[in-house]
Amino acid sequence: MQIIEHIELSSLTSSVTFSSIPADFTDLYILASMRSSDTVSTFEGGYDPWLFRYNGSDTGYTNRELYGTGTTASSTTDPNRSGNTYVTGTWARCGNYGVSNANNTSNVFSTGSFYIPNYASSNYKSTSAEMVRENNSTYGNQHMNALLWSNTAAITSISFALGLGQFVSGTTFTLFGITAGSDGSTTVS
Amino acid sequence: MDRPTKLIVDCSTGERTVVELTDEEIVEREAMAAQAEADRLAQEQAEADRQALKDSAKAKLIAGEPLTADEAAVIVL
Repeated sequence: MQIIEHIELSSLTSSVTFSSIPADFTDLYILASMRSSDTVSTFEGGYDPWLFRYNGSDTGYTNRELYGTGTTASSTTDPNRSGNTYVTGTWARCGNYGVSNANNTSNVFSTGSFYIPNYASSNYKSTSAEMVRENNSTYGNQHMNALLWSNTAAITSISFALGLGQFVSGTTFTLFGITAGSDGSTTVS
Repeated sequence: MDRPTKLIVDCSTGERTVVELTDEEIVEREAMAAQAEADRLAQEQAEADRQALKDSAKAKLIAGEPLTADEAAVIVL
């Protein structure tokens, strides 16, 4: 696994994009530590949905989400969406209760990850995504997502944003590339 | 108020560019926020409704009372 890029924000930022992603690897892996500037939601400590899109595309995303709120666990298609298809405007959504907002305990960030196998192939792109949000007190939310981007183009850019607020200073994103060995197994370097 | 910005990192060169959002992007962001807010309210209501059904189902189970179809559906995996 090799670091391609690491970002640490030093100011409020509406969105972050990794562009011109090289096609040299087999899979991509992204680790994120995030907090939102939004103050609207106070549900379970306050959250902001985590949004993303590939290659700037606003179509072709579907998702099945398994999430836990600390007291309950659910697998759901959101009642505001048609089946699993996101209708959030031009961004797809992952981790609806995902990112801590300004109402959460200070300096507590949510963690998330994306694993994108065969990102440069001509097949549809599946993604396994996870995220955890807690407020260092009473709440802990966990999300597991099986995502699909029904597009045969190689992924060359990945963008992240929030539904309501902006990423605050201290938010980080790290993009890793993973290369399969000659026998198809994963190599570690 | 400062215009919101986005960060673009070119993975082929390492170049980092901070770009102010265009008017169109700001309109898009506002539409996203409106949609996210509507979704948030609906999702939180759905969560509250689901929890109410679970609480009712649990109480009825303890009391030996029959459950409604909705109460049974929310607790049966």
